[in-house]
Amino acid sequence: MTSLPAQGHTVGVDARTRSDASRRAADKGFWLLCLAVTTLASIILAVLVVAVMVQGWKYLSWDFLSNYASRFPEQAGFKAALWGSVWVCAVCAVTAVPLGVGTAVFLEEYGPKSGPARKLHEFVQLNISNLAGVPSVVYGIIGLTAFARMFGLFGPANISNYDDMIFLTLKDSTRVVGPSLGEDDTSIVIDDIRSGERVVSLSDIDSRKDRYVLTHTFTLQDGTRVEGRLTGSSPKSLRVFTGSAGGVVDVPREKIAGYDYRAMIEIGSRGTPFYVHLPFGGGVMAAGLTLMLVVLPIVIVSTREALRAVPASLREGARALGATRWQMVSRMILPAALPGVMTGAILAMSRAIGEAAPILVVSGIVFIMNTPSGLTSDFSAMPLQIFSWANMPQEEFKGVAAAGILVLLAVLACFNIAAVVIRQRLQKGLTA
Amino acid sequence: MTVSPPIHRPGADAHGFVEPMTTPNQTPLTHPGPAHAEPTTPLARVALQAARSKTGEADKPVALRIADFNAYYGDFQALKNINLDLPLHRVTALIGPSGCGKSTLLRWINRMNSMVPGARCEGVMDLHGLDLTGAGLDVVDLRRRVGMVFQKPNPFPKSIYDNVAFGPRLHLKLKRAQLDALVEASLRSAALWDEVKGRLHKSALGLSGGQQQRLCIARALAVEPEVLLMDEPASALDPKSTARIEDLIRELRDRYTIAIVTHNMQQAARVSDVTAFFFEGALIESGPTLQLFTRPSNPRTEDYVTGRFG
Repeated sequence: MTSLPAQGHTVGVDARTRSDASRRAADKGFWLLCLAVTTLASIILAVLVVAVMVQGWKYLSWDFLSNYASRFPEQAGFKAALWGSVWVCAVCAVTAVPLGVGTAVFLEEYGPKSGPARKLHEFVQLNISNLAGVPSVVYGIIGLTAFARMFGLFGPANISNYDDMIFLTLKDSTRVVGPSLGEDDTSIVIDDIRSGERVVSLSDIDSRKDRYVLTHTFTLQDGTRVEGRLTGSSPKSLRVFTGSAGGVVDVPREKIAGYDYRAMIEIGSRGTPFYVHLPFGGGVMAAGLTLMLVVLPIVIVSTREALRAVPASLREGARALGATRWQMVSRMILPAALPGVMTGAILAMSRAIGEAAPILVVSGIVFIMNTPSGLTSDFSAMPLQIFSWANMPQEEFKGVAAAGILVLLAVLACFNIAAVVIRQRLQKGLTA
Repeated sequence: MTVSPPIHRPGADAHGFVEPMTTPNQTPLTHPGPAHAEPTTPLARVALQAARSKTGEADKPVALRIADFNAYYGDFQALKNINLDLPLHRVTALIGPSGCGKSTLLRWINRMNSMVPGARCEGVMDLHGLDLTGAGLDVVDLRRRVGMVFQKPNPFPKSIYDNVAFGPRLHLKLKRAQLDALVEASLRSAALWDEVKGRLHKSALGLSGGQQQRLCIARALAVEPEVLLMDEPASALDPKSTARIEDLIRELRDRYTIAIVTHNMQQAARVSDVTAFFFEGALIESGPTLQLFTRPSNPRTEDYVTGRFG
């Protein structure tokens, strides 16, 4: 028994042995803890999936994928929601990926290196990470205001089934606005809003802009105002669709004291898939752009991680060969970072396809009977349809909702598998 | 003054030096004096042997003139009043302990340092009339004329072919056949062609470290630079790969002006014609390699080359 260092071998060995035992016990204990936690999480997941499968399996069939929604559980189908999700996610991908990758390239490769701009740059960087944590319903409200309604700048949203209006400016600066009643080689007949039927010679026309839809504000002689869209006309009156305020109103022509109009801008031609008008209304376009807001921070952050993983030595190598910054980015950095960028983009898309709240806020529609035909079409989406079925009073619809969940899960699994495959493919090409 | 017989050419051949392509009867670059007749240190012997194996005129025109050159990182002065000439088609070795500023000088020659925040320089750096310190300098054009090879091989994650073709594609619009010829010529110059000609379109990352570094040299050569900068090009490689890189440097010497930073004094003695010794940001001594290693005029140079510090 001694504590002298020279004779302390036995004491030292004893002490080490004890500490070894406790270290090993702690090691084993931590391993057990990890195992338990992982097992628990797996069990919970398995129970959920199995429960959904048991509920939804019998509704899962080809008919389920090819039928539209129905009041009867056995006939209810997922087609509208499936295609709605495809459209919305396509808009989201086409907008979010270029914007997000571009932003990330700017922040990583072109960011200011010094001065007050550097501070601003850091502030922006920090807040992009914060944006990734904002609840998606907030983006839904932003999307509703910014994309669906466009702050009211272009008149009310969600106007459909209008007539074509013709808007002419004549050489004497007067304007003629109204539905066309007929045209020939030399003149055009317009049912002008104020003056009624009028023949305008083509040579008098200074500019002609049809394909404009106008929202009108008619001021009547008694001072009241009627705001809405012209849906029809007769020699005596104009029929105005006012939306919320009373529906269709017939305004006698002689009572009109003045009028004002706002244009709803159209891009493309009606009936084509790329046709859009401003404002977008609660259609595919607005929802896709709203989802873009939701996933943009994710795309930016994952792309920045991928860009940062490109070693500095490769950047130096490219610059030393005389590459300009853009040549370095486009020929060396982006190809080298592509696996990471693609993986991030696909995972962002799988987030988008599962989002319900922002789409619900923007579209407000949960029951729809057709697939989208264009960028401003109304639509449903998979999470919305599931939400709608889960809220149905009939018990059978719980099973239909479960079947919808299974389809959604399958789509998500496909996305994740695609991410893994793309990553492995690209990396195999880059390494030996 | 002629050289003394006991350590004449046979010794050099034993070291495996490649005979230069120029005529063997030309005067050696340096004229060893009587003090060299019996070199006392192994390093001096290496330097002497190397000097004998190199031929060419002693006086070559200046390829790059550096005068009164100062460089800073923020407030820290990394280089103080440097005056150094790189002779045309000769190898200049920059030696000195870590942090002495030799890499900084190298990185200013092709302006890699102008990407570093806070780095600035002043003085004269003259490449055939092109002022490298000027604010309006086109660095893209400069880097076409001044290539660089880094310490760690840094092949791009692309095929061997695409690595070599990367530089030419940046600057030139070449037809496929022209590009093929340029890639082959560059790989031949870098003594890599025979090893990779069967797998040009395989990934460059499958090459060994030494092959990767020669690929990086081929990549730098493909833009046809006048000056080649090498920042410790062999320090991450095994001895055999190092020997190949050194052989390569000796071959490239006929066509390129080379500046090489090295911590390996044997290497400096073996490959360089001129050596410059840096210490704490100052150029202590520069001159013909043999002279610097055998008759250094500054005691600090002597201390460093004899291994007393550094």
